[in-house]
Amino acid sequence: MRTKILIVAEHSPDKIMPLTWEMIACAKEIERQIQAQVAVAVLGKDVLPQAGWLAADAGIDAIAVTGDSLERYTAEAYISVLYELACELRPDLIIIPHSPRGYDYAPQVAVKLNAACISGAAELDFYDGKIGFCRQGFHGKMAITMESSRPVTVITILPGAFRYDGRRAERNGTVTIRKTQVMLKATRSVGTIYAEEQNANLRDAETIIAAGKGIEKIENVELLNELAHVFPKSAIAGSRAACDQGWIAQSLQIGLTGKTVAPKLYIACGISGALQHIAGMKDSQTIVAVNRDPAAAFFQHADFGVVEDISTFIPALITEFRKKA
Amino acid sequence: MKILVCVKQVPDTEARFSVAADNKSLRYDKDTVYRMNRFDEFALEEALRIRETINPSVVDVVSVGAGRVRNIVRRAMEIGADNGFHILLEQEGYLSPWTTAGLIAGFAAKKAYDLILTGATSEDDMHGQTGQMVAEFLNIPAASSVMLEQLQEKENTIYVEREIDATEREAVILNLPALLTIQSGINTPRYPALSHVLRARQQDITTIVPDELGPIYGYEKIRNITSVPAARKCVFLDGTVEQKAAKLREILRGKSLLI
Repeated sequence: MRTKILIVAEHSPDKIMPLTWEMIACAKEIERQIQAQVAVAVLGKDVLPQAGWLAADAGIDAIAVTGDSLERYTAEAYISVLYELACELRPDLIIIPHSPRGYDYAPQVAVKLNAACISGAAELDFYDGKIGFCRQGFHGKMAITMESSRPVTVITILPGAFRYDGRRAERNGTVTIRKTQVMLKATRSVGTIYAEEQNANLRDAETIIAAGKGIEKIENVELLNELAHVFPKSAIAGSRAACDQGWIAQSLQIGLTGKTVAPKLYIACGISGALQHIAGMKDSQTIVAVNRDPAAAFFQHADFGVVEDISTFIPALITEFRKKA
Repeated sequence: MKILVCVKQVPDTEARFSVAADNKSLRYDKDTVYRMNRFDEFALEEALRIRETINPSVVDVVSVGAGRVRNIVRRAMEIGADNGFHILLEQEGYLSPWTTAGLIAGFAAKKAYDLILTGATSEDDMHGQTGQMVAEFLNIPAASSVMLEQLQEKENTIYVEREIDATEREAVILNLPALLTIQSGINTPRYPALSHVLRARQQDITTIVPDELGPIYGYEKIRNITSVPAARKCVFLDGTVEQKAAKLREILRGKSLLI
């Protein structure tokens, strides 16, 4: 029997988000291992173009679900519409992005369908005709393979975990349009609010000095600033925890809920290394981690590691860097 | 306003552990320090701030887990929660968000809360599912990763801003009762005041034994736990602090990263 896979696309009015292609890559990986049938659903008021692009480029069947309640994203509409769709199509596996929208509605879809829910899957494992979903846990220190005990499974996949090869499919998938009558009962969307961008120099920086909770006090941000001055084209950034403390501006946050960067040099100071942060900087060319905890997960993602306290090591480093050659 | 805050106890970030022989669970060292999930601290603080603006209000706090979990229920009461509830589950090891959410929903269903708050995710498991699942079990609307909320008492609704990233938010209005998962950074959690600590010591924590709350289900299980494969081969610099600094300088100069 074929495993039916339903992907829920993430899109904007004029483009398909990269995460959608990553979900397709994930589904294709499953298709190579077990008998599977893949479809992608695009939800919105006018999403026929997006469905068309997906059917043509990825060669999978696309379903455009349209309706007034889908004009703007709301969890309520997504949950009801996906429930409706799943009752009809009976997918065995529903793939949702692990994005601020995806994780907003995925758990409810699972509950409604009496399905298992596995979030933040980053890798697949195949055994006895089953699929294992690998995710990280325990503060990013361990890799956990989870399996579903239910006939229906909802997964969210981690951004950047699966790579689409970019090859155009040989033949087009079909495009189906469905109208939904789902009405919003308890939710009203107001719209999107943008804060001022203050991170222009983060994008252009060749060296990023990033602070984590392990820098321990705001006074140490000054040390990191001083260190940054040693490098040309450098910038300061922070993990979510450092930004939450108010040590670093929120607009300079790196990670899943912040910015994605790939500088030539990334120096992580006192950052534990949870995947939420790693996802935003793992493609940096050279990565240096400084942490007093020798078991910090960050060392698994670094080229060079220094096990020291920030307040002793950074001043030593600044002194060393300032020495004449 | 009747508010419920759901809190989780997590091992400290630097806690030491080993993988059990079956590769399916972790054993934390005996001296492990357990504390409140950081995200839940923000949820509790947000509830206390709402109580300060809307009179009368009551803030209940609930947690699911083994006996040690009582400590964070007590902690939440010291910080300012009015009543503490502990859903006792003497089962160490993996606890599915389904199970936790099912138990909390079973408890909350009888209590008629106007608002349920919890952290956006937990620091240890990082599923980010429990809050949304509680909402679905109770059939109430939910918003996750909330960075701002304003109650609209007359309309019996709540205005909410959800975080998309550091510079973008999504605004939505939900009918009450509603559930919000609170994103970290929304506020600065307070420390317990001495008067609250003294009061909390005298208060009882209500223990609930799950049989009263219906079945416990876990829909997914752990197949195995391994260390995270190293994405890069990390070279640890050794020596004194000064020697490490000198080595790093040489490495960066060698790569032309430092002039």
